[in-house]
Amino acid sequence: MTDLRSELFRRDGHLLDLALDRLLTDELRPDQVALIEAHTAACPPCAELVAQARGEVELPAMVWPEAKLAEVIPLRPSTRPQRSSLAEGAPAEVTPANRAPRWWVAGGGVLLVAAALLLVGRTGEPEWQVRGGGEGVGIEVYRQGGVSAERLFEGATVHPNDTLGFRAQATTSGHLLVLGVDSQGSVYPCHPASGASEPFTAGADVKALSSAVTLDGTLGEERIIALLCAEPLSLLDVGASLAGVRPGSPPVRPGCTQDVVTLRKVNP
Amino acid sequence: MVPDMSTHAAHARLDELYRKYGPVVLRRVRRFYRDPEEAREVLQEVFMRVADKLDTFQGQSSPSTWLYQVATRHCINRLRDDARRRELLDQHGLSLDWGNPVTPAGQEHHAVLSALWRSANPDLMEIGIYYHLDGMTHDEIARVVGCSRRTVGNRLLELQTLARGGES
Repeated sequence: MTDLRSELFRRDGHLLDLALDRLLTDELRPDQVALIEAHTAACPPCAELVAQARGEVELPAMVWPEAKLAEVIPLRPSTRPQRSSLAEGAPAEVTPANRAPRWWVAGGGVLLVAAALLLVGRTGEPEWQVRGGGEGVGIEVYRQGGVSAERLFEGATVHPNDTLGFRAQATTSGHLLVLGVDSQGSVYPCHPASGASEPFTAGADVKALSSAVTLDGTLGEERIIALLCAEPLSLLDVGASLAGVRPGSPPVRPGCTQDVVTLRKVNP
Repeated sequence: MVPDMSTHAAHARLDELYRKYGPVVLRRVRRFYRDPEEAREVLQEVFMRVADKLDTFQGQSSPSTWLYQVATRHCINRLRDDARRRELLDQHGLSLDWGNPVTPAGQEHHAVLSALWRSANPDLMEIGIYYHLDGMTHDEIARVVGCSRRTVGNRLLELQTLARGGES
């Protein structure tokens, strides 16, 4: 059992930050509260710290990505017809019947769609193939608004201070890292915010990612690159190799698949 | 993401957590990020992490203790990431800009942690911050992290070794 004082006070005798948190959220026992009150009565700096912490704090409004996205974005790919100017060619229509994410339609074409559907019927294989029909990852980019989120497709226009959220899907499990590259070549983490990959489980659902990024004022092309690799990776491992990565580019490193969405950042 | 809860139930629970614990988490974040706007941004990121991890919180510690650790870890990772980005761009590292507690951290402690920021792993840095900057005892660190006092002692020794230029 830990010493009562060590739960409440620093080694130098003053109140611990964590003890103050627990005091403010009513998590301490009466004997612990009494000990803190006795201390603050004799310690002006700690008394001031407690008084300051008890002051009103204005919290920014919180938007929960999963809950918010779930309200406005179907968990499955949209069934509404959507126009997407894909890098591989002319804008493509995703019909209601396809129920497919854009990267699936992008490289596969009608024959692949038909083949995949046949496979579903015959073997139970997943219908959520990725670009080119192989295994891999797909990324969806959303602009978060006040009450909704707007899906951004290849070539979409964004503005400085736009906040982007992400959803991803993979046909194989692996380690997911989503990075952004601005027109100056600066690489920044989109998800996870740490810049280190996190395990990602394959599945039919397009999963909302918990991170969001707010765009800075650097105008021009902005690429969002999702990497799914067999081994863990970090921004440091691949940051320098992203310069020429475009939709359809070969994987930046062996054992990885990738998906790219290119945006255009302009002033409003 | 909270896969085992309905969206509305998860939303309500997260809102409740945010209202009750947001101020103390913000206070913690401001130890790492003095700029008010950046601190508010980091606060939101922390609660997004909380949304991710909510179903893993089993009540082994109090909610405040759990959130304290989640916020600390997030700030460590974010600062390290900021440092990596700067390193990529202009080869500069990180200077740890610690908010003032009642008793400011000793210059020596501060310098040790700043120097080790890029070489020590995040787990080690977390324990180093609890010890050198928060002023926690070994007992309290063990309680927060969920490990033994011996592990805490060993981790702090590793940090000292690193500070002397040795390998962790």
